[in-house]
Amino acid sequence: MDAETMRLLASAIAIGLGALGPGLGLGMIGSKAMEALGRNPEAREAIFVPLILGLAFTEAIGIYALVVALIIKFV
Amino acid sequence: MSKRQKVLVWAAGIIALLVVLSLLRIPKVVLPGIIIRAETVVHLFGFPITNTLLATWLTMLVLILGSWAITRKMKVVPGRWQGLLEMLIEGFYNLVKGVAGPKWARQFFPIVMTIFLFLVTSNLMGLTPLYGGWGVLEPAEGAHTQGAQPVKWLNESHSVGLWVTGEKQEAQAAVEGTGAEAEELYMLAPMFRSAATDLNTTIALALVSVVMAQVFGVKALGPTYFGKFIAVGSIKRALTKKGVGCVGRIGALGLGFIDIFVGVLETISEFSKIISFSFRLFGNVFAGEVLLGVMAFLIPYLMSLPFFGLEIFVGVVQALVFMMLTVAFFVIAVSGHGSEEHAEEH
Repeated sequence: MDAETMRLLASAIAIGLGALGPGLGLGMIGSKAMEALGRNPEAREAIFVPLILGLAFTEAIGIYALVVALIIKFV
Repeated sequence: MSKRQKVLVWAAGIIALLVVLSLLRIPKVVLPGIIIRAETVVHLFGFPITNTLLATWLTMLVLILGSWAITRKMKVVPGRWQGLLEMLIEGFYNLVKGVAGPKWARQFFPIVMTIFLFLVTSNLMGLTPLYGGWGVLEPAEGAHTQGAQPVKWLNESHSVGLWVTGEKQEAQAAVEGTGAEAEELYMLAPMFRSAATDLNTTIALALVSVVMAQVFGVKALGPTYFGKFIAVGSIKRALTKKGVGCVGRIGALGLGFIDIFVGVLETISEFSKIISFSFRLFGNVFAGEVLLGVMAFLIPYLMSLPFFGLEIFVGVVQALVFMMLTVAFFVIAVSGHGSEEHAEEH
């Protein structure tokens, strides 16, 4: 296996595994938010900001994986 | 047929013409290279100006001229544009007030709203045809040859050119047939490139956000704000507190050392905020551009449209996220650090 092949493989593995965790996390956050909304629809405003913050923090991890994959691939 | 219908028919005709032309591959299009660093497109007084910096200036221009034009003749009963701006400002002010409380919202709002407006404008403008497709042709050099193509010059002075598509040899042959030159490989540096696709822009915004959090922290708590990072307060208390036995003192000292460690962690987390802020925004917007580029060449016209919708959504959400995180960190900075304050109150 030469370096270029390894590089392709590495970037694919980086983003593939790196998207797994944040994906699960985003799903959990979303499901809990929907659950909360279902129980108490008036709390929409109160749920919104923590939801966005939680999503942002979780998604950031996926973005790190993406940046690492891009760096492996292109730099 | 009404005027509106006529315009629609014309627009549909032009779009259909463009679709047919591109299916016949006129003009020929090449897959753009994916380049992480922003390209230098012009030199101003010896300073290299990158395309993302130009885009930043364009965004600033749009924001300044836009708000000037909208607020030039303000009325008590707002018109359409003034109403939009008022709705936007008022809605976000209430959002910030909900998180930060009325006292601090007045101070936080100008900074976070500027960040939001700048980011949302720059992200949405990055999706317009003004960005990306045209720019400066540069000779490909060194390691940055990805996406480089031969160029067919359209005039004598080599100032206007078209990229030649296809395999290198084929293109060479095609160009030789027309009498133009294409010895060297060139690559396109777009004149404008969405501002947040440059890590420099996002790091600058992240630095503003994190530094302002410290400023607000000091403003709210005074020098005690830094007690969060250099947490020697509880050790001092453990040594000077009266009426505790030897065992109690040792226990308090142990807790004090844990506090010092927590302080170190706080310091690290403050720096990691810069990284997380900047990479989140950069990664999202840059990945969006790459996604649009890939989709446009995977299934032209059909695939691009839903992804443009997605990118509009992502652009707005990322601006909102940057703003809300900034507000949240400001709030954490001004609200002090629970245990020490309580200890002093008792």
